[in-house]
Amino acid sequence: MEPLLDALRLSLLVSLCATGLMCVVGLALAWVLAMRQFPGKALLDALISIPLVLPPTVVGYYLVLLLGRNGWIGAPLYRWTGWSVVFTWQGAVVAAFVVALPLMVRVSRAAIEAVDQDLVQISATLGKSEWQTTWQVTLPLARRGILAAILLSFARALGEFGATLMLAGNIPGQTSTLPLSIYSAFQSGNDDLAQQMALLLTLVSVVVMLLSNRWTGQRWKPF
Amino acid sequence: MRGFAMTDQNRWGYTLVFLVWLLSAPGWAQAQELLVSAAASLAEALEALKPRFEASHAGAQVRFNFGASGALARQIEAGAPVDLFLSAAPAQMDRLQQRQLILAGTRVDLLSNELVLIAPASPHSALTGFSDLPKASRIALGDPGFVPAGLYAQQTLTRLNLWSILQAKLVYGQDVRQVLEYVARGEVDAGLVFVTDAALLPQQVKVLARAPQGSHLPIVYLAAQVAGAAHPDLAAAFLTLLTQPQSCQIFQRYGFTCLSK
Repeated sequence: MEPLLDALRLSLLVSLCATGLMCVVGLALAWVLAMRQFPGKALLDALISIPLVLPPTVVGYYLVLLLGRNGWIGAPLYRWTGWSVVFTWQGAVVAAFVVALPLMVRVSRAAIEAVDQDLVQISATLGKSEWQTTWQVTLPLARRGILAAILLSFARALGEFGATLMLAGNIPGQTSTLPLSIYSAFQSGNDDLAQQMALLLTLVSVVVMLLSNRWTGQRWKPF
Repeated sequence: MRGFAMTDQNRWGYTLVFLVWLLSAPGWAQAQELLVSAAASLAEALEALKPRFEASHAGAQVRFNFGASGALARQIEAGAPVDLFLSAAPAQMDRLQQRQLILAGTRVDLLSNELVLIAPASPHSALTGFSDLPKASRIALGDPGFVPAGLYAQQTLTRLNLWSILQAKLVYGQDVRQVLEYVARGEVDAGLVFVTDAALLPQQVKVLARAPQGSHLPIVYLAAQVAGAAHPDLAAAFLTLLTQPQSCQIFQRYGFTCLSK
């Protein structure tokens, strides 16, 4: 039972941290993409979405190039701080974040775009600043879709394997999330443990998907 | 625009050509293709032996599937169409033998190797040997569950009373070559690989120490034919080749020790 609980706890920690990051960065990106026009918008949109279609191992490869001890960002970081994100649980968070971000951005962007623009403009004519309108009108109206986006991206983060293995490695108790532990257990011939962990992960994912469907099933219209 | 329009007829023609091209993917049409699943550490030596075998067996082709011995054994358990299995440790071979998935009569001890502690060649490593390992921040080894080099490494670190101290610093590789790669790239401060692996990248890694005598089970590479394989005769011929003195010379050139005469 202990390896199973360790892996579950780590998986939840990593996915929750990644989801937390996504709630800030992803939501900001979604809002910008939904509400603003600017040069390079299509490119930014494509860049964010690439992990949806690239194999996670390729995403992981780029992350290592970027953040590795000899990477473009990783090398100076390592020189200044003596710390590298590779082979740390934070590395697992980064991998999960990058891979799940497109889901967060796309789904919540759709929710924000679906908000009735008349209401946004009325808010402006009533003298509210854009910031106030965003917090008091747009986001509350889009909350169901945003909640679904959060759940979906959490589920994706929970299931992340390829990029995590490349960037964070497989370190028992630190980066061996459930998917990585399942792989190790299976390769080691430990079928019982692999089966238990697979069932557990399936169960958690099904619950999250059910919740997410429940929220997206209803339209996010003003009520 | 008209010139580019495709008639229905030549559209089908192109589709057919495309399908034929797809289906002629390498490895499909070969009748006499020997599939050898071998421990990752054997890759270069076996590739060097391959032309010799193919020259003496007209029409035969050898294809290798390299990986961690444990992972390869799992593939065979799952029914992979493998003819010959070369493992870097007895445990995986025993497992297959218990399940009667190998022809026990063909099982042979082939080679031995040595386990070494390596560090990145540059920047100059502050580590000098096993006793310095507590100073390292990250140490790579194969996953002891299915990578033989990792299992030997675990035994050595346990024997040296370092295993529990280092626990939080260990990064598991999916096979021994990944460990080598981690060290060569400088992502970890030290790693445990076979001496034959370290010899492949002399510019990038340096050997700090050899695992003390008796600190791990004897390193034995074994070979055996897989039961019910498609090309038993070719597999037997390849196995014979592996035990010949000329082959031993090639293995020795890569740093292995031959066990069979």
